Order: sequence, then structure tokens, then C-alpha cells
Amino acid sequence: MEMVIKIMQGYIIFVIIVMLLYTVRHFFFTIVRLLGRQRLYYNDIVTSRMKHISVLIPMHNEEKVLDTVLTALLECDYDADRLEIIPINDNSTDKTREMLDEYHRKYEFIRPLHRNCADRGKPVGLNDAMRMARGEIIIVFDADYRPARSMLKQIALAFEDPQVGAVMGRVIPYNTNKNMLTRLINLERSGGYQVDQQARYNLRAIPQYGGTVGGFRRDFLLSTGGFNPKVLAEDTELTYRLITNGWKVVYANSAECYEESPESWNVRGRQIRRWARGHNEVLFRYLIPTITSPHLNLFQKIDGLFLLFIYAVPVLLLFGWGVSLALFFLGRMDIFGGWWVLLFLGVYNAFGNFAPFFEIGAALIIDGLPGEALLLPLMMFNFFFYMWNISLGFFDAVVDIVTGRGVKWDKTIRFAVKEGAAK
Amino acid sequence: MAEKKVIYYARTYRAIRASRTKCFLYICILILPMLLLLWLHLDDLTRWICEAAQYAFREFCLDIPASIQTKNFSLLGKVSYLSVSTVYPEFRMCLLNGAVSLAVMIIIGNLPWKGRPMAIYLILNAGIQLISSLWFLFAGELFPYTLTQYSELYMVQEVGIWIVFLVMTGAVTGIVGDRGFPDKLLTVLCVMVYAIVFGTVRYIVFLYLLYRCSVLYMTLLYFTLGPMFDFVYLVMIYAFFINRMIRLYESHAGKGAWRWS
Repeated sequence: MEMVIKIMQGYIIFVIIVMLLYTVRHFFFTIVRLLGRQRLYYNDIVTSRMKHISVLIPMHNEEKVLDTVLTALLECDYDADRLEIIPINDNSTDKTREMLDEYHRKYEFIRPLHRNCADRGKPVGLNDAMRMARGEIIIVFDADYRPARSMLKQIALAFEDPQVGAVMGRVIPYNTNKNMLTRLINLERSGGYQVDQQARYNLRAIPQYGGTVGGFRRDFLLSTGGFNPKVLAEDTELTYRLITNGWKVVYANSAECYEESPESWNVRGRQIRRWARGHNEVLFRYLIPTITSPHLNLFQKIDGLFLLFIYAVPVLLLFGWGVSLALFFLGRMDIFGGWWVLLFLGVYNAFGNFAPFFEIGAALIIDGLPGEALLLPLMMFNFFFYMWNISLGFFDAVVDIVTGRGVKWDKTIRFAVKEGAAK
Repeated sequence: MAEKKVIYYARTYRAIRASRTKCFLYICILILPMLLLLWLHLDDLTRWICEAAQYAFREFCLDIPASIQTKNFSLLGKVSYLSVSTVYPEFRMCLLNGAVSLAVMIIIGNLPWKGRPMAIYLILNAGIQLISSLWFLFAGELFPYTLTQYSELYMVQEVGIWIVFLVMTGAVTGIVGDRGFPDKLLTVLCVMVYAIVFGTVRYIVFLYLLYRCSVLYMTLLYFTLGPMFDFVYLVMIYAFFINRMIRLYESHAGKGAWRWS
């Protein structure tokens, strides 16, 4: 029994150390972003011949939002003869098909891909679309996103650097004022992009390609087998595939794109669970390649590992909570005394990117957004919500790996009402 | 939606122009002496809290016999806490609590908003109370804490909170540039005063509840209304601080504060 207690106590100390390491990492990121010299993106590059790009937009029953994303893309300042837009109509049963065909009649460079087959899902849809794409650079948007005018140009510019394999832009929710959930997601996004991603870019660590609002090289992906349809987080998988093969992933903080945040907790819960499942699958697949990759230096390996484990931390915390409860009943909590409080360092951060409250505060200062900061204390309740849903996603991933079962794509429900969409 | 047509490059790459040395010195000069002061007066502070609790029990006719005890801890030095006699729950009370906890879990678990944060939080609390009730139903005699031991555990935990919060508040306010010193100082003081006052009030309430309603509720109070709730006021006060700093940096007073990379 004494041995079991020692193991449990050791586990709690381990979790506290993990929490401290992550907190120190993000404290360092905050200092780098807030006080350091910023590493600029490729904004200054001028080229008379932009790269040929293909914009891919996976869609499944997107009649509510497709007008908005296509209108925004049509307003982008990118040469029309260097651009093609491929909306991937994946087994839609609403008016998506008819609406896309109508766009195709008006604009030749909008070339919808209609998929009516059993193997639906974002990765397989992207694979099919990449095969028909003509552009050397693939830029992906979700159907509920609204790119800013210069977005495409900015994303494409980075690929003038032959070492760049993928680029990630900044995501900003546009329905922030809808309810408390969307406001809190806005805080998480601020901390995650304005501070976390930019700091990692500054430090030449591992900025993460997020699956949308970003681009990558078509040839690289096709030559390495395309997206793996068994992996839900195809974005994280691509990030690690690129960096372990010697490519750079860069972050474009000025390439802003507006997204629709989930407006209901159920939708958010399913989304987070799916992300956690996908991210942890990538953890299991890329843990060893990240450690052994000859293309990464020690600092990048450490950052890559921190990033890989991000969706495993809430699970560690959940177990830590359970173990501390057991130790309490065994009368052995006293050894931790006051230091037990450190276990709660994880309470005030946005899981998924592990943006602690001070990182979000720094983002709000940089963005100059007064008022929003006052919502920070409410993040405590998100903690339980995320801990629960991410843990479920983690166990999904474990079962996926053990049983080799396939994954089923679950689309995030849209809430948008059309406003000023193209007719 | 008013879509943004212009991208403000400058904002996306701006950073605060501040002397890192000054920021570091702020943390060292302000926090280290305060930490030392706190450490040197832990005995006085914890004794004062015990006396405040005794006063409250006496003044509000709470009729709780409590005496002050002092223990020497290796790193912290002397820490005082109240010694209070333990009241164990009756079988019927445990049964009732267990049933109510289970009912809460089932009812909330079947409500349409079961996936919401508050529902998950309540289910978690009910789960802890259910475990506690079952423990006292089947192994009550093995419960490892007296109320005095809990009181000691609480006080040591409070000391931990004060130290961690002082360091944390100093660090997170220290990196927000080298301006707004009064705001930073006020934030650190507010967090510390709040921590001590809140810790004292909670100590009195917890001891009262555990003495009146038995130690059946000890686990729930320790886990769900313990350190986690201390972070609420830390982040709340920090949020006010950030709000003030945003206004400062966006106002005339923030002139020249930004480095537009």
C-alpha cells in the first residue's frame, strides 16, 4: 500500500511539474511577444508574378454560409488569372450544389468539385481536390470563414521562400458579441494567435498550421501520400510531417481571417473533443519522429514536444484531480501542504493552445481591446468543460490507435445568417 | 457585419518598448522584499487569522470552542491554526447526502444543458460529495482527518497560496512594460489583501460549517471551494489591471510606449 501511495504522490508532483513547465513556457512566450523585437512576415516582398494558387473550401451542406466566403474571396486582391477556387461539395443534401454551379457559370475560375461517395470527410475531399488543382500552392478555408482582402496575397508571398512548406494566418471570430461562449472563444483566439503563434514564429520554434486560413505546397503533400483520412487533425499532422521533413512552417500575424465561432456549448464540446482526438492521434504517430528528426534543433524539438502534448495535459490534470482525491481520503495530502495550489495553474488557460490568462491579457493589450479582459475570471468554468471534453477526445484517440478503427467526420454546425451575400 | 477592409500591419507586429532590466528590477525590488516580509511574519499573520476566527465565533455567538495551536514547519517556520473538536456525521445524514448527490448527478446528467460548464461543475461537486457520503457510510472510522488536522492543512495551504500568488502577480504585472507602476503596485496589494481577507473569512465559514454540519462536507469544501476559487479573484483583479493598462497604452500617457517593429 505504501508503494501505491508513493506512486500517487509522485504522480501529483509530476503533474505539478508539467503545469509549471507549461506555465513557464507561456510566460516566456508572453515576454517575447510583449517586449521583444518582432520577426516580421514576408510583407515586404514584391513580385510581379505571384504564384498560381488554388483555394480549397471543404463544404457539406453549407448553403447558409457559402455566399459569404465566396464573396469575400472574390473581393480579394489576387490576380484572377493566377487564382482558382475549388469548393469541395462533399455529399451535400441542401442547395450547396446548385449554388456552387451558379457561381461556376458566373466565374470560370470557381470550379466546384462535387463528391457523391461513401468516403466523405475533409481529408479525402482535400486529396481529391488537390489532384484536380492547378495551383502549386494550396490555400484552405472552412466554409464559415471570411478572408480579408489581402489575405491570399499575404499567404502566397511566403512561398517565395523555397524553405517554407506551410503558412498559417491569424483567425479572428466575427460573431464575438453573440453570447458568453463566443466572447470567451474570442479571448482564447487572441491569446493563441496574437501571442502564442507569433512568439513561436519570433523564436523560430514550431508555429502550427491550423487546417484553415493557411496554405501549403501541393507537390509536397501529394508526394507524401496526401492527407491521411484516418487522422482527424490533418492540420497538426501536416505541421509535423513538414517539420520532420525539413520544411519550415511560418505564421503570418497580419494575414487575418474571420471565422464563425460555435455559438452553443454542445457544438463547442463536440468540436473540442474532435480536435483532442485528432491531435492526440498525431501525438502517438509523431512522438518518436519529432525526437529523432535530424531537421530539428534541440529547441525546436522541445517546443514540438510541448505542442504535441497540449491535448494530453487536461487528461493528466483529470487524473491528478482523481489521485489527489484518493490521497485526501488516505490522509496523505499533507506532504504537499500549500504547494497543492500549483495543480490549479491550469485552471485559467485556454486549452488547446494552453494560453494562460496572462497570455490572453498580453494579447488584449497588443490588440488594444479594453473591456474584454473583464471576462477572464469566467474562464474557470471553461476549465471543467474543456477538461471533460478533451479527456473524452484523448480516450477516443487511444481506442483509434489500439483498434485501428476509422474516423468519422463530424462537421461543426453553422449558425450564420446570410448578410449582404453575393447574389 | 462590418468587415474590415484594411489590415493594420503595425498593430499586428507592435510590441511594448520597455527596459527589460526595469521590468526585472520591479519584480525583484517589489516582490522579493514582500516575500521576505511575508515569510518573516507568517507566524503573526496566521495567529492573527486564528484570533479573528475566535473573535468571530465569540461575537456572533457561534459557540465553537477553539484554541490556537502552533506548529513548526521546516520551510515556513511557525504557523498557527485553530484546534476544534471534530463532529462526525450520523448514518442517516450520510445516507441522505449520498441520495441527494446521486439525484443531482442523475437529474443534471439528463437535462438538455448537461454539457454546459456549470452542469459539468455541479456534477463534479455532486460526485465528490457522493464519494464522501459513501466513505462515511462504509468506512467512517477510517476517515483520516480531525477538524484540527484539517484546520492545520487549510492554514498551510493558505500560506502556499499567499506565496504563489505574490510571486505570480508580481511576475504577470512586471512584464507589461515599465509604465503604470501605481497600477501594478495596487494590483499586487489588492491580490494580497484579498487573499488574506478571503482566506480568513473562508476559514471561519469552513470551520463553522464543519463543526455544525460535521466533517462530511470537508472533502467538498477542500476540493471545490479551495485553491481553485482563489484563482478567481487573482484573475479578476488582474483583469481590472489589464483593462487599465490597455487604456493607458492607448491614451496620451502611452505615447512612445510602442515599438512599431
